[in-house]
Amino acid sequence: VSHSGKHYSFGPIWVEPQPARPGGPDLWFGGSSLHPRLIARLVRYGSGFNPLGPAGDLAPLAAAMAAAGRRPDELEYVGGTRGDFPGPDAVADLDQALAAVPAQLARGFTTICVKPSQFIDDAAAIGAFCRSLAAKAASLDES
Amino acid sequence: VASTFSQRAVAVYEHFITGLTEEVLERLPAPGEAFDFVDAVAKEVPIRVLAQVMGLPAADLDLFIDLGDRLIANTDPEITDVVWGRDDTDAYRRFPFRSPYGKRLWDLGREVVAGRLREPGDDLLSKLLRAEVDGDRLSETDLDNFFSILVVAGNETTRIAIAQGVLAFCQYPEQWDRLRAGPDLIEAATDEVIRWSCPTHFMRRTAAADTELGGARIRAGDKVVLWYVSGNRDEAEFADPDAFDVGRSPNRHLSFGRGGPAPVPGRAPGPAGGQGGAGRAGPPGEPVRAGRRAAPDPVQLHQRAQGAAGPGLGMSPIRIVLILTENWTMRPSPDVAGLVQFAVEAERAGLDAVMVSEHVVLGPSADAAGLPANPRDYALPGNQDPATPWPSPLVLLSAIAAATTRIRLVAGALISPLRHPLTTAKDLATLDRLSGGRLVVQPTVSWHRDEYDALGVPFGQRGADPGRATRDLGRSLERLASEP
Repeated sequence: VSHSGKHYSFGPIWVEPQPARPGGPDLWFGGSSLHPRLIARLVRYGSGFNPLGPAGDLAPLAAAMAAAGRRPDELEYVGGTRGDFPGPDAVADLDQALAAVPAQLARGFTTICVKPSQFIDDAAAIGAFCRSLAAKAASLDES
Repeated sequence: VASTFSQRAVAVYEHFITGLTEEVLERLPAPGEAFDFVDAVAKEVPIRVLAQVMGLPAADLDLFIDLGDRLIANTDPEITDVVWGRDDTDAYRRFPFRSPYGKRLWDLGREVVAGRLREPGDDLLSKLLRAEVDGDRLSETDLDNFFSILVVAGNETTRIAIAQGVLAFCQYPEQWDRLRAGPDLIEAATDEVIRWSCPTHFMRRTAAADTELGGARIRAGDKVVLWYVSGNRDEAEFADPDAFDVGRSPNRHLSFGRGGPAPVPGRAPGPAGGQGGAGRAGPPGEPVRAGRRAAPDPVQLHQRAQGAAGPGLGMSPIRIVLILTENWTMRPSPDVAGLVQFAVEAERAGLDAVMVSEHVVLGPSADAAGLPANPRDYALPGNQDPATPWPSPLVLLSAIAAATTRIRLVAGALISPLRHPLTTAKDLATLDRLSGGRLVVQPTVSWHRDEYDALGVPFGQRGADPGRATRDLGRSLERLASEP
């Protein structure tokens, strides 16, 4: 490998082992807005878009993907849940947080991030939490 | 729910199946030592896939597979001790294949089902228990039959196809050379292996209406045997049918009945629509169809279940990512090893991925925006106690890779400007290998100037060009990947 750029230049050098997959690990990109550089990065390298918040209008991304000969739905769209805390020392309700998911699914977001500490305080309950989450996600998917 | 089986879902399972296949191959003896390919590889791969589908440890499946073998080979005294046509099987007439092993499988299946009812996960069985078909939940008999079919058809056909495929390539090495020279042939070659091996030689169906086939009169209710193995060598359909040809096209083989090889992971089926399996078994009006609901034909049930819950892979279109970092409010507060356990639980429950984010260090300005009203809220720019614990993501994910087999590992915010891109590329490549290709990376920059200052990386350059490190990393990986 060799590389010559503004910030790094190296090579020729050998870097082994290579990743398990020919294209390397999947790369997700995100940002506070869908700005042109982010779009360019997603089109060139991205397998997923994780905006870490409201994603805004996805049309420019879809158009750029299509212009580069990639299907817009080749990207995995990553959404999330955010608990609504009834007080400063209370956990949020999972069902309430998941209620925001169908609207995301409708926009093409298929991957949903959940932070367990928003909904439970007991670390020993993580297994039951995960199973309940899986069951609730499946029922959202069936509805 | 039929939309469950997206190409993207298949792609995820491709990673999983590639990973477990590599594991199986790595356990083979050194080159030159003899081993039984069927036991070591052809049997092992489908067992591990089944374990995933059922949410069971692979070790538990040996017994099921053995019972399935004795069941389906019910006329072969080398395999079963209760031989149909020789022994008195009248007591088992209501069980699959008139076999005592059919009863054993049903009993075991009920235990597994009871377990899934107590603790549902995202595996196929749990989904099936929630599934409705034509407005009905599956009956106990449906589930009994489904379980036996899953165990038998879910492993035996694949085992035979893998073994026969390797045998075919040994017998026709020029076809192997051709495939190696043209990897694009893989889909055609897979179809050809399935046609050539024809794991299910024949299938019995029950005619739903009076008809005539090839000059033979068939009345509604007649049992009809379809010889797939003969259809797959039909001169009227296949040019030179006895040749093993990895480039064969078209290849409308009948190894899975009419409708093509939908159950083979690695490709999406045609639209199943609301017709479920009946639509796959034959187009509307097709006279020879699977049995009625009152006495479910296992094959119809199998295909119907696929229509209801995907291809038997337990995939949901919703993928849940469990965030592992930022959980310090939980009690006992999960330390780094505790987070590995979280990942194990997430995988066991059928979640899709775990995510670990990053700060290398935090400085005094980490809480400049004030702490959140509730400490359980998300960590955001400027709202964190400088002592918030952020474990090293790639080290933590390596430990998780070793403790899990399926779940994806998301390095959800890897602050790439803080490292040399070659160091990052090497770490990521190693972790991708350790995890069998389960790694997802989201390169990012950090909002936190103190972090850049402490590591001696100019913050301003990051501000001027937030994508530069990402781009360099992307190029490094791209070049790594393109080198031979």
